[in-house]
Amino acid sequence: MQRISSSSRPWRIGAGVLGVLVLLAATGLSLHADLRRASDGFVDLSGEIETLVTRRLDNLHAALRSLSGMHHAMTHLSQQELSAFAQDIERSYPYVRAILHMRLVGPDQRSDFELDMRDAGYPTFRIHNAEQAATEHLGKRAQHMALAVIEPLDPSLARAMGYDFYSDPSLRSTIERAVRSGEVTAAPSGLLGQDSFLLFKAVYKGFFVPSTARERNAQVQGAYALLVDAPAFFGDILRGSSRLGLQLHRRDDDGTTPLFVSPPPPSFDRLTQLLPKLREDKTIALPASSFQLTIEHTQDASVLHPVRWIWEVTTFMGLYLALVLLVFTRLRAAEAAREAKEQLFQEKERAEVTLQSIGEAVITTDPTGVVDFMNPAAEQLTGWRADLAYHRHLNEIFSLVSESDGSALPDPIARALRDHDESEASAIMIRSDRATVAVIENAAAIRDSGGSFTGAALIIRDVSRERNLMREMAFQATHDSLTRLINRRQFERELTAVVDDAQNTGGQHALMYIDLDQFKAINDTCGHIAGDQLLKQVSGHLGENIRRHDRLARLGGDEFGVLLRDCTLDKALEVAEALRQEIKDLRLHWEDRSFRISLSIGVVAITRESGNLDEILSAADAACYAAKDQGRNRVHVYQPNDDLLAQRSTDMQWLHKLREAIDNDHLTLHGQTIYPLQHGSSMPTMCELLVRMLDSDGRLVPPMTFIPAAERFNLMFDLDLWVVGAAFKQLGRLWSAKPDDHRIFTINLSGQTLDHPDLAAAIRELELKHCIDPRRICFEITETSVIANLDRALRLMEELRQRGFLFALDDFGTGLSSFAYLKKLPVQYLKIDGEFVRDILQDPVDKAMVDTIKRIGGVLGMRTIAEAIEDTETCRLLTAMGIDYGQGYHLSRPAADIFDPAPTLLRVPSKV
Amino acid sequence: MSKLNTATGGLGGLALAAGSLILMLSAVTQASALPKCLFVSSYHQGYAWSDGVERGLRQTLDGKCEIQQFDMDTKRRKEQSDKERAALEAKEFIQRWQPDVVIAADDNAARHLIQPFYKDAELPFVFCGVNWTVAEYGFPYSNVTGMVEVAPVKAMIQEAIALVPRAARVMYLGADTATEKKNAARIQRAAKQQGLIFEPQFVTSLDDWVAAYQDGQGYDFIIVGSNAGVEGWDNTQVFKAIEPISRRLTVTNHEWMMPVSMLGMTKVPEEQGEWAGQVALQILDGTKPGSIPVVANRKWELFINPRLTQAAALKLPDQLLSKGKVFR
Repeated sequence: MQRISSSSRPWRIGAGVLGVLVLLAATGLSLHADLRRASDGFVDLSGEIETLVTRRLDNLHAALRSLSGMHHAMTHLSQQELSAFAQDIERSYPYVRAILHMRLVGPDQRSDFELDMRDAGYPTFRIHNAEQAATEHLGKRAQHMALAVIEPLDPSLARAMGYDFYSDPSLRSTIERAVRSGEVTAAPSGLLGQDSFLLFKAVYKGFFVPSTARERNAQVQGAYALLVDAPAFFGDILRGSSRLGLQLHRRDDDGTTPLFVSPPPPSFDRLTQLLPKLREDKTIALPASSFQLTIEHTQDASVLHPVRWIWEVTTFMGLYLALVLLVFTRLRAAEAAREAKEQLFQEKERAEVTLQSIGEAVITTDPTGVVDFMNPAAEQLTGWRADLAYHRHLNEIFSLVSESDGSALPDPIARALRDHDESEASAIMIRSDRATVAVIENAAAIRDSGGSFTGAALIIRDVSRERNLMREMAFQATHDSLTRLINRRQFERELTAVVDDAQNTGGQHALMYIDLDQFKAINDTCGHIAGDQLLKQVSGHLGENIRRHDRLARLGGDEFGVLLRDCTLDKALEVAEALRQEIKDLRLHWEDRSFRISLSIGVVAITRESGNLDEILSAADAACYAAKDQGRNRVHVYQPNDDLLAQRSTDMQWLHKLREAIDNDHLTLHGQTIYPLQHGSSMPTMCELLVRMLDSDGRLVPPMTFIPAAERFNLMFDLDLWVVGAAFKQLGRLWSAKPDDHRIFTINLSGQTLDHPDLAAAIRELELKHCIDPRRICFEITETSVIANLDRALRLMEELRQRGFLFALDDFGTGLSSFAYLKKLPVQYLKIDGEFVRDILQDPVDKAMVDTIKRIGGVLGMRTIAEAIEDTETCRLLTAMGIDYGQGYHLSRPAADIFDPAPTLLRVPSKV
Repeated sequence: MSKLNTATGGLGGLALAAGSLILMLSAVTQASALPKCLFVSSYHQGYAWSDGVERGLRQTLDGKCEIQQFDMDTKRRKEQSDKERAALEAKEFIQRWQPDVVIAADDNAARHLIQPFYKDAELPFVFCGVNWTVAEYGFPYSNVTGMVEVAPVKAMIQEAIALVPRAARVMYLGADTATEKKNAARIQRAAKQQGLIFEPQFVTSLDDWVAAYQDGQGYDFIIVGSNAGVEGWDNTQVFKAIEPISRRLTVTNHEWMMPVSMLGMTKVPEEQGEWAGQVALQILDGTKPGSIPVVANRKWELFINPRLTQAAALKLPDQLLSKGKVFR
């Protein structure tokens, strides 16, 4: 899951804060909505109440007007008629508690009026005021508005009979206003009850209400009033809500006068106290009278609807969350797009930087092969600037031809498509400037997400250096590094072909074996450098004096061979003689000295009858020895008779000696220590075991004296096995005596030995016999011997390796044609051939070879050992180059006390 | 002999089943929680006026107080001693039952019970049905208030004069009782105010009443008083006797006299009972009787007896016919 980057954190915090605000706002809105609904409901209710009160007041006005009208219409409105009217009013308007009739009584009328009332059944009737008891006489007044009729009469009202309404200024004012206006006026009921109010309507003499105020004042006869029971008047309204408060005020020029006040009930509930009180003031305007109706409502928790809040808040929050989700989704998408873009940019940058920096040339094209990208390496490789190469077809930039035969290779793009999108090929690039470069090109098809082919990418690696190196290595594998002539192996290979030709076609060819006379003396007296120079000069002269298609080889030491193809024996003798003469006449110089040298040449014809390769070689060798034996500086043609003689007189001699030495243990082992070169290395010291033969005088015979004979007569297996046996025997003793001796001992195995089918079993037997730790035994085998029979060598090595033995590839670098086989070999050490080490300080190719071998060994996990270290500078350079081990006279000469447990051998010399 | 009627008279049925007893006990318990209201009637049950008063009273007090009724029966026991004895019995009953308020109807109760025994006493009294004035009893006392019974005499005489424009002589025919004489005196004053010659006749028997009625045919119209006190009264018999001889307008203030009268402007006895009941409740609610003024009744009804008017060949104006209730 993609994580939201830190940049979205403020958004999330903002969204959270906003969410809280939305929650609060939603709650507030819900609360507001509830209060608004309550307010609206209250407004509606107030309107209804206003309508109802207005209608009721209007009805009362109408009733009073009817009463007034009836009064004016009739000459005498009897008590009975008034009572009947009151019954109707009471029935129609239950809140009318009573109809009152007041008589305007002048001071001269008061006595008769009171007597009449007493005579009519009110024995205690008196006109009185509020402060006086009904039975007390009222003081003299100008006029009285005496209450004469109460219908219906009830005991609580009866005491008001005779009450002078003019005794109360407020009531008098109200009645007088009613008199003046001829309309209905209102006043609090005062004496008649606290919860009532009065509506007055004046009546006048005559049948009609006088038209002017003045006349109305003059003709007023009395007044009727409706005593309105306010709780009953508002009762059904108040019963509708327990929290309703009502006030009815009369409005006039003097202000407002309360007629009824019923405040909303007090609340002790905290929530109710917090809620706003609702209030509506309504003005009810009736003819000549105006009322103010105040409606109040105390809100309580019932106006709040938490369930609805939850729904509304949930809806709000749902909408908000949906919005937030939408916004966040968009933000995330935008951020993801930005990140993807950034990532794409970075990847593009990385790819471009990589492409800019890698050594391989990278070229991309469209499906038609038109270039649309080149990296700098491609520019350098092709010689085209990228901007110039763009939009050109690949064929204009370069072409590819076969490395082997120069034939044109197919279009790499077409090949990539054909070879399932990716293919690799070695080729020679022919640039547009006709320069050629060895390359390995890899073409891959580029496809879009739908699988459609959108182009191709070519990765071209310049392998010129590798090719050169390989060629150099191949050359060195087949040539002698000193003289640049082909070596014995290549010579024998070509000779084999010629022998086969002779055998198959009957062709005539010839072989020369050339040995330099007195060469050893020169070597001994002037040093091997001089000897090498001599060899180089001789080889040069030899090469100049053979036929063009003849083949000259250095077969080893001071031995040369010449293969003369399609050459009769006579012609061969002619060539041989010319060579001998040329060298004989040659004066060679070394420093300030000059030498003469001669050649002993053995010649053998190669025909169908010449036998096999070995026989021909032996014959040539015998002929050469025969020439030497005959006094040197001569040419000896091989004759079968001569062959037998010569062979017996030389090789058999060494064969005998060697056999005798093996059988009688006239051999001994010396050891040359191999030191770790890297400072602080924990690698164990190594020691190469070298065999020496003791002659009859007990003197040491160097191996190069008898080894060739051993090789020639297939004694190498016996010789190597003796070495292994002797080494194991002495090492078993050594390790028994000195268990902490961790040196690794190396034992050379020849190619012949490797081919021997009994080798593994024999080594196994000796290992067990002498209780050998195989992990401290390293077999050195030459690179060439391994390659000669790779499969068998591999099997042997794997078998021994499984038991723990170590392997070093000896003389590494001289016989290589490819490093590829190294991956297959279970080798732990690479011993770099001394040929590369000796001149490493002067020869950059040698140095490059050593460096290459070191790097290859490092990649393959193999330790490198440089042999033939003969001076300090070489040792330092090799150390600096990272070579793991060093061996050579500079560090340690071969010694006989190698199995001596003396600790001095274990010390690393200061030269390292 | 006076008669005691109680609202719980059903308790006499002691043979009721146990369930009924429980119900009655519950009723008694409930009744005992109510204040006690004693209704002392000057007359007896079955007398139309008294029954009307009682009806109005009970209707007002029903469920609000426990009512006991004591009938002095002074219509039928006319002797002074009988009246005084009845008052004493009522007094004894009051002492025994200890009512919270006493409602006394009509003059004899006021005269023989309230005035001699309860003037300014602790026990509140509400009187009703006292004719015309309370001056002779000295009412109101501090513990007494009530409603005076007045008749629409003036209106009745004015209506009669309107029907008999040249009327000059009028006869009053009533029982030979104090109440009737008091009524007659009151009417006489009103008749004189109208310039009429007023001649009352008080009788004690049906025959005398019919004879007097016969005499009345010589007057311009007859005011028919109450028959309470006329022995042997029988409406059917009287009607049969007077129907053939009726030639003059007869008017009355008593509804129960409408079978033998042509036009009636009658008092409403229930009004007396209702007022007395309302005042009693006020008193029981804490109002002092003295603070409630004495008032007079104000309701009356207009009745027409078409059989008699037809018999007398009297043509009534349409306005009157449309207003008056037809007595059947």
